[in-house]
Amino acid sequence: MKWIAGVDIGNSTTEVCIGVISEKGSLQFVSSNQTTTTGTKGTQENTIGVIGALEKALHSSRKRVEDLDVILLNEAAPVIGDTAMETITETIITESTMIGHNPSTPGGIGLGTGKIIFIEDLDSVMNQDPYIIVASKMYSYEVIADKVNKARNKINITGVILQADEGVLVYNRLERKLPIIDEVGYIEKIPRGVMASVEVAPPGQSIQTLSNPYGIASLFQLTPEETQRIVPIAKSLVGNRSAVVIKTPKGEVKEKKIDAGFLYIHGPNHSVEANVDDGAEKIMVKLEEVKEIKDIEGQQGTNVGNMLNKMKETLATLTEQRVEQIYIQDLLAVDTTVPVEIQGGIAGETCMEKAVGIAAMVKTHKLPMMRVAEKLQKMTGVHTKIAGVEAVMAVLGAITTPGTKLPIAILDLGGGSTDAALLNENGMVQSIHLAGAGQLVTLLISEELGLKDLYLAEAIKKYPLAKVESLFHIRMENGEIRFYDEPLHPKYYGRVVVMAEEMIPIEGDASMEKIFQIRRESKKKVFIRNAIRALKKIAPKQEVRTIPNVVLVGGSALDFEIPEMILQELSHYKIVSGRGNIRQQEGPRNAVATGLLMHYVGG
Amino acid sequence: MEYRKPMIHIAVYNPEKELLEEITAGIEEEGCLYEIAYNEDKDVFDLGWNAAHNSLLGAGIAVKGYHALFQCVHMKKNTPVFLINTKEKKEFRLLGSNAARYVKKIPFKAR
Repeated sequence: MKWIAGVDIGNSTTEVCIGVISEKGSLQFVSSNQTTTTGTKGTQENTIGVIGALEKALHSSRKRVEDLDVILLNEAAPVIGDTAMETITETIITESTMIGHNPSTPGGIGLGTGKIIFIEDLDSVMNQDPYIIVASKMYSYEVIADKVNKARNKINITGVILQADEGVLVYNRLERKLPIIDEVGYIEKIPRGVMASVEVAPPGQSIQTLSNPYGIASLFQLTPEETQRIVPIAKSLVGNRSAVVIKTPKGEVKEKKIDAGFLYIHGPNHSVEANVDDGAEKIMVKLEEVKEIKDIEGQQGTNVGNMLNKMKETLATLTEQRVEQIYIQDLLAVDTTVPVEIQGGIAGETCMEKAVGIAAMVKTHKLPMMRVAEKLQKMTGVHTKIAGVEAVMAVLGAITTPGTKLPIAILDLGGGSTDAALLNENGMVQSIHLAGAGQLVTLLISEELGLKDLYLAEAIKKYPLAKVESLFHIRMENGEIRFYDEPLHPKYYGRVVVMAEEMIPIEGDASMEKIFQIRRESKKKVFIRNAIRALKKIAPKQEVRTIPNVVLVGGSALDFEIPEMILQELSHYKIVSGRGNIRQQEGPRNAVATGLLMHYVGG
Repeated sequence: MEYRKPMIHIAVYNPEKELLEEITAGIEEEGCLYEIAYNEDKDVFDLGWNAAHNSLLGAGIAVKGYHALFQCVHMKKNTPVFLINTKEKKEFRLLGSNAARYVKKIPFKAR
């Protein structure tokens, strides 16, 4: 009797598998366990997690780690990935021109244009020019309404801008009606005496004039050149219920196009360049033209150049190499749009900008798994050895999934990279590592929703959504209604929530449908593309159809919708694909650890 | 049959006038209707309970002196949705806003 353990240290999860070899040499699986990887993959901190997982797995057999005869460690693929996102257009509205904005409850209906006057200066004017009154939150709605009512007998008032959320309250107290914008935070930024325009649309509609470049041109008598420059203003106000545009004579708005730059893809013999401005689709086509990528560079001094430089620096630190030694072996580009705060906005307005998300992957020197093995041996006293290449072990483990036959391919959908391996009838294994996986999906979700919170984005990726419709019931994203015995906390009321172990409310205005769509699109953009890309690279003659079954393993294969998305896509190629079920019981987990044991016995 | 509009009911006993005005301002800004009923001396929880049950919307507010709460018909009498124990004006405006937001089925405003 020999007790052996297979250990797979992944980027985010450490998996272990325990087996017994009988006197006759047959292998029997005993138990398995998994835990979060402690420290960065390949560092000595990993041992803490490994020992923890081993202890838990051995607990049911009343064994201790010291009782093991051998520990088998995966030989990690020598690749490491990183993700980043950069906007490629940026709207800058200079300080002398300001725009806003979309309060939840503006007052009145209509359009008003006039000179800006602060409410405290009302007594000082006596001419017939049109005016727009600005009032800070120091004044109560009653005082403001009273002052406006009185002033209207003397001067021509066309609109009101409020700092407090009191637009309806003021409106209800006016003798004659005006459009009112409220909740304008940075009221002190508004210059006195300049021309401004406020517009409030009827309920259920959106503004028509300030979202139209010619509309703004008519109001401010702009020249054709000036009209060209205010296009970004109009664009960012489309769909708003209310808006204010404030323009000084010197005011200048420009859509500053940052040079997105070129990507240079170096092959063994020739190089190809791709313009980032052309979008992700084109970049990926160019990338496929180069069969064996030696390195990828970005044009210096451009956005993409800075982005790749930063990535290389991060990866250099992680792998303890010099930046010059870092060569990007693969890259996945994804188009997206992200909300960016407008400079010169008066209430924190955002506008949607084009952006590109990039995942890159570099080959490293052999990851220092040797050091982990040595440390583990020292700590446990058990003979520890590095026993097999990760991808090969994963295919071995995957064959234990019922319903599969050779040749078999695995798609290992991880956090940092998408790996694929093919095992044919002759026992030959072909494997590939591609950039872009779960982490890029999380980044896309986070950026596109403007969350700035990767933890929440991760939760949105992993769990279905629901809308809290009352304190006692929610509507799930598939339309199902769920009732609760006890009232829900008021913080959830009316919100879109993520159905994680505990509900997490999502702040902001995004509807459940929109978040749902962004989540699914992000997954498709990364995993569908990578699945096809990876299978093409390992398939004989690049013919995907020659692979009869594809088993999905790895953390992202646990996702509730990615496997079905891939199944749907691969069924076009007549491929059977699905979430793996290692040893008929582990699901898509534990493939490598299982493979390690099988390899040890077989080899 | 009695004609009733869909309004938030506000049951009050000896309310602090300024604070009551803040509550109604909160409701008004959100565009909802309300009705104030002056009551005899009762427990503030009873006031809220009655107000909620008198409202077609199932939404009631109680104000007794400095004490105020927002109650809806689905909650237990002693656990209203919101309960105010300060004299801060802002809190009372918020209570009104959130009562209206409850009716509109949109998320509550945070403090």
